[in-house]
Amino acid sequence: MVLSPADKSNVKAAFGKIGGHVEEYGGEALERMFAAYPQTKTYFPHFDLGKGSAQVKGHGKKVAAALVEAANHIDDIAGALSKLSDLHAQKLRVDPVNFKLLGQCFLVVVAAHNPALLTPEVHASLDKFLCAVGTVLTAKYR
Amino acid sequence: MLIVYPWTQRFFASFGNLSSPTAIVGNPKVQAHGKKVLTSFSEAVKNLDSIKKCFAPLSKLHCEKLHVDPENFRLLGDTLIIVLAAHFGKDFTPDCQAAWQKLVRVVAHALAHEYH
Repeated sequence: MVLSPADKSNVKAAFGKIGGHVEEYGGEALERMFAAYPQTKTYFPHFDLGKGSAQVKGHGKKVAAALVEAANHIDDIAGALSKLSDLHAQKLRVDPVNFKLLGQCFLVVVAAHNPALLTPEVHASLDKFLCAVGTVLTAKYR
Repeated sequence: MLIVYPWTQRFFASFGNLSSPTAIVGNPKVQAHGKKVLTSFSEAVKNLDSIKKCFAPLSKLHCEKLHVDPENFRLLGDTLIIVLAAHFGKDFTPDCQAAWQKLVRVVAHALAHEYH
């Protein structure tokens, strides 16, 4: 799946509009993912996953920062996320199917907080972008 | 779904103009079909204890006549959830989403159940 110039522009604009809220969105996306897809909790046995968990919020900020980094370097997501890609391949080894689940939850958060932002075209572009990020993060798995 | 996952348009050749997001959003056949699908979903909600039974005839139809890959039911379910989130905002809580993700998965499974 290739990001068209229109996709790239939609993604950058979307993150621009989301602005500083993105950190909060990261946390909420994780919270939703743990609720909707309990199997994803298996990757966080060392975390307190209760409501309002500071660890989840902290991790959400990290995830959000990575997405922003990818959006800011959208012409070379693989380059921008290369270290994260190594980390996921060598250490974390999160099964690839889970990136789609987090992507779905991130879109739900964006939709719930910014219905006007998420037009069908922007939804499509963001979905493609999140897929591309997932692909990069699992690219070195084998 | 038709915009975000354009390959799903393959089932709707008879719908006329699907050439752009604007065309899709304004297409009366798309709107009518959306209404049909959601009405069907509401049947599931009314029959939560017997969803497989409720959808058995529709499942046979989707297999034998419509030839729809069940993966498409999952795509539609996920898209529906995002639409709900956009409409209900904060009221679409994580617990609400979790329940709906289960429901769409169960409906997708029921629609695929009679496939052979």
